[in-house]
Amino acid sequence: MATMLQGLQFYPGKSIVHRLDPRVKLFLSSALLITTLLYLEVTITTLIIAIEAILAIISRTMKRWIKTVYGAAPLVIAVFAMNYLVRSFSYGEFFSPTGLYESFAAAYRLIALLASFSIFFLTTTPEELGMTLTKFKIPYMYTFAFVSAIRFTPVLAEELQTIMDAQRSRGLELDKGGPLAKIRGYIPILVPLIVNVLRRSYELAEAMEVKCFGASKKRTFLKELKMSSKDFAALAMITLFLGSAIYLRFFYPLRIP
Amino acid sequence: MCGVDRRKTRDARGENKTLKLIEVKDLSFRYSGSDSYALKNVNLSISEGEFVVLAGKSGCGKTTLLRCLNGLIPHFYEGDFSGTVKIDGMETSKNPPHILAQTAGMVFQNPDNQLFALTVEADIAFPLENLGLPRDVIRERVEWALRLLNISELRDRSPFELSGGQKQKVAIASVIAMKPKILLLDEPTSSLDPLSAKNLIDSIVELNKKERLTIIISEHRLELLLPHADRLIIMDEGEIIYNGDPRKILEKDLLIYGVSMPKVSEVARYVNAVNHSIFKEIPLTVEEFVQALRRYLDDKDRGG
Repeated sequence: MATMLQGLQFYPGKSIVHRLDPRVKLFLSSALLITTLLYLEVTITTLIIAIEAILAIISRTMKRWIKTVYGAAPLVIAVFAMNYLVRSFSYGEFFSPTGLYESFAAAYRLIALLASFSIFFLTTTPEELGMTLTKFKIPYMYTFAFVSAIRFTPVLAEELQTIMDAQRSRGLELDKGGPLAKIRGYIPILVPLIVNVLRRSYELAEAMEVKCFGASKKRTFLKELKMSSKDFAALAMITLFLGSAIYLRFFYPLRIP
Repeated sequence: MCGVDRRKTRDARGENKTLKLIEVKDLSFRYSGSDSYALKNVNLSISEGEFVVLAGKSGCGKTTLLRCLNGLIPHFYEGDFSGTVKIDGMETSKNPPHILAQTAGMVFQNPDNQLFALTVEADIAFPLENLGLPRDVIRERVEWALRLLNISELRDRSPFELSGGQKQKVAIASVIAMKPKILLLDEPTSSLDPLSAKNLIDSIVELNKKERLTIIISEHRLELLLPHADRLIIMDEGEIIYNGDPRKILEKDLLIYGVSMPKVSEVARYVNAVNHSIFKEIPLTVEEFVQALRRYLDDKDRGG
């Protein structure tokens, strides 16, 4: 349970990457993603991963960044295997160097893709995410749902743990039996959990009522995202990077090994 | 500019000095789906600045009464509602909860279920944002509420990092930021350890003393509250069975109503059963107990 909660936790940081406007960071991650998709070459993918690694170092999130990438390993291996099988059959020969190379490139690109967004999520607070949604003119109802989901996930995880402990102390065995018995074992845990969630949602609705939720059609916000000069500078750099990536790909194809 | 502000309603009504802040007349309520009445013919009036303690067994109607005072009943909870409740001249059944909430703020039992945002600051701003107040007003009120509850240093913390007592203080701050005249608290210390409970109650007492906020608090921990209370209301089965000076009723045994009195009061009551002349009035604190005893002994010395 602790590891599950850890994934949700945000570690506040003060690096330049943390302090960038989340919209700029979102654009940065998207630019890296698009570039990755544009090029098949392993060299370019390596370059992109290098850029991401530099960002991770600057924002001091290297350890957790590697962990996320590491966590995606099964997926990456599956992509490699699938690619390799399909290519082997279509080329009609196994162990062809091109088949191997292309499968490797596909799996490698997946790492770059995942890594680009993990930088974004590692350096952006859920609160900033909420503000970004507001800036994108998403109705507050949805932003509120998103923020509450983040707010209450750990609360529910804790509750789940309490219920599991309570049922175990009453003799419930969760780790015994076949897969079907295991699923059945979780019923005594899910039922109280759902009942508790319903009761909690009622109390939350009551508290929202006394806190005037939805009282004014035009809701105001205490904090708002504002672009500073460093945000504009970063934005210009990213645009330049993405622009040249697109230009080189379509209008001036380079010979890349 | 200020979306929904209570001042509009107040101006329209005009000030009337003879009004009590809270007036409850012949109030009865039965939750839909329930056979029995949760409140039976309750009459009550409370003036501005009073500190009222509401006590009684669980299920005696304390929570229901509090819900009636800020309009959650009849707006949020359905059922048979009869009688009138007026707060600051507004009839609760005729005004929407978000208008009433700006006069009578409510803090609930479970602190986790009343914090919505991801930082303390954002949580205090939450109701003000909902009301559509301008940003500088929100900023100013958040600062004021943080200072008032002495939690300025928690500003950027997330609710997961707070203790139960701190969470409850944040919940109070977020309600206070709406600048209500009345603060309703429904067993706010029930999930707190004794020290945090005392700490929280001290803050509530300070709000009453410094800001002249009218407080109505339902509680089981009477020994911490009664020394500050202007009035004790005891409820049983939906009815008010006592409404007045805390000391008078403490001469009786209240345990049958689910009220545990302060230990010193209990001892004094036992002593009085033997010798009626020691405690002229039931003490609520250890200091009062010692004073009364000393006075008795001095008198005895002089007399004998």
